[in-house]
Amino acid sequence: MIDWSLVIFTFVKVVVVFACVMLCVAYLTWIERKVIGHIQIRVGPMYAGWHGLLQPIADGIKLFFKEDIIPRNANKFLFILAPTLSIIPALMTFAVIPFGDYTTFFGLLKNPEPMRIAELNVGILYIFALAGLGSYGVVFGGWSANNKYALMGALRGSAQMISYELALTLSVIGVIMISGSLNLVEIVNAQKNVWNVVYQPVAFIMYLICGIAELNRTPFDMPEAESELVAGFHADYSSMKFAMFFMAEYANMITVASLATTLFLGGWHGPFLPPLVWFMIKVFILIFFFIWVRATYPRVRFDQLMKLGWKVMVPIALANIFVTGLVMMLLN
Amino acid sequence: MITSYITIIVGIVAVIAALSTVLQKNPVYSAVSLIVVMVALAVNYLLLNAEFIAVIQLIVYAGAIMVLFVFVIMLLNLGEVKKYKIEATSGRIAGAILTGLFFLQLVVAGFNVTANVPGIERFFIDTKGLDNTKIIGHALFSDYLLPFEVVSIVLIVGIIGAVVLGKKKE
Amino acid sequence: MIKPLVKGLWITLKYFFSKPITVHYPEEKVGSFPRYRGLHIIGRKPDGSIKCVACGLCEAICPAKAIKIEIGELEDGMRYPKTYILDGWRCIFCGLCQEVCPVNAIVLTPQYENAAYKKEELILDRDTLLKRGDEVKI
Repeated sequence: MIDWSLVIFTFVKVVVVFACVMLCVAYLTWIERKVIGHIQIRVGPMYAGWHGLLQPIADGIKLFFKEDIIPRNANKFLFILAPTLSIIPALMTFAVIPFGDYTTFFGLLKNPEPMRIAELNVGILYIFALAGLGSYGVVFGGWSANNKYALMGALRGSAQMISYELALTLSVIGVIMISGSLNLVEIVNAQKNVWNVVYQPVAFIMYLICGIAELNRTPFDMPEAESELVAGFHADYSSMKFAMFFMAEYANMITVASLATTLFLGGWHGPFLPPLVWFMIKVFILIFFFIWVRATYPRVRFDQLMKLGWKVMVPIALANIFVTGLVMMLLN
Repeated sequence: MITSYITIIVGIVAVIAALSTVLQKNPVYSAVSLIVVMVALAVNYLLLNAEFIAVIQLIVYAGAIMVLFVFVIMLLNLGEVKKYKIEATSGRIAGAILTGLFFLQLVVAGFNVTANVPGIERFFIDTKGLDNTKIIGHALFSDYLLPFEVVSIVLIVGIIGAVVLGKKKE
Repeated sequence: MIKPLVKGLWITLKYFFSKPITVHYPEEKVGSFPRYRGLHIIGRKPDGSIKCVACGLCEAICPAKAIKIEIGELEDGMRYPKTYILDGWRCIFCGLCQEVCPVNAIVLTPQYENAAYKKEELILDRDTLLKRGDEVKI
């Protein structure tokens, strides 16, 4: 028989998480503009609402009512499919991210309810699989527009994403070895006393670098590269299709930050404050770091990017796995 | 009950997508269809409680290999395939007969899944308290260590071959 | 290699916590410098009549051909501008008209907010220029 309470709870959780993620995505644009503004001694958006707080809503309305242009020579089917392909995997990753421990919502529920949508035995791999599928949005979006800049962006994007996915996955293996599980909840519970970042500092830094590369953010924003490729793979997109690419990018940013929190920074564990608050604090510190990095560094050249990925990141990751294994063997 | 219906639906999707892979004239559409096949297979693995295989299927085939396929198709900018006649050479006829026999065998095997294969118990593993990933890990590093190592050597040979072929002649 | 990267992050963080130098323009204004060359005025004599004697030097020297004068004459032989049209859209604010004027009638003001919704608003005739002279501080 179907357990209806489970179905209802899951449905409610899905809706709540979706709404929160979309709200975070919208306000990340505001946070990014504000932070970069202040780093450049400006103030960022100021006029829509108090300190520009309504700016994301204004932007959303503007994008919603813009004309939706499809280039004449575009491959229509893939052109429409591409933004969808990029946003769906980005949102699906939130199914396995553990936001918090069991909670009764201040005694509202009889049985404690876990603060996550699903607990998957292969949680990490699930996220990486979806990240891999997310690259199709970039690839098809760039190719279908029938525009050479977009195609260049798409080719760079796919090459970059394949290369850095490898290093990203390898950097996480050390953590998996220490916790002995692919389940994100078990990984978080294994870090109750000591965060993994203490055991795996190299892996953490590598994860952040590869994560930024995987997100296509500055200094690794080769697929977009405004100064040379106009806007790269989404040069021909307008209106909500463009917005969907952007939402996917920011949702991926939250995913990478949440995964870093889960794997290296002890997830929801922390003193005094409720678990969810700790989780949010850690995630937003990481997001601030991503924006900070974007405001600081110039874009690297494409060959340097590939060289960094294959000749620096992958060997260091393999060495990290080897050392971790060796130390674990010696200690046991 | 629901899972078996989903299995059938996903299977039909996979078959249609596989046919479309072969029949599409535009190579990019073929690649898209192949991706759909991969994803459908992953869903079917998931329904069989083989979540590790499902996710690895997505990472390796859909996430990496197919991206490379698409990459190559886009770089070469292939147009639509022209129609051409297939001549019935003896080799092709033999191939068609063998394929037909293989398909027949699959169908027969598919209808007789309950058939008792002698000695199959040998491959059963005690799964008490272990999840999918651990079972595969144990199997790979105990019973199937030699095949596993041989496969890795084959893969290394492949990588070295690719490097040699891809290297510029000086 | 790592040291300069960290140094860069440190510098941007320092700027993040420093006070923005933004001037919120319509609410706050930085003003202009005294010798800024903005939109013109024409001054009056102490008795209130126009200073301009319609010599036509400004019209002649104007490199953008923004000034058009029609000369009139009073009974006592004094010349005055019957019409004096200054096209604020053509004007390049070089200030040559001010320099060449023998009676210091036409003067450029430091007023820099010269945007207009309608084209007519910046095509100034004699009376507008005189009125601006009464209103705008130099």
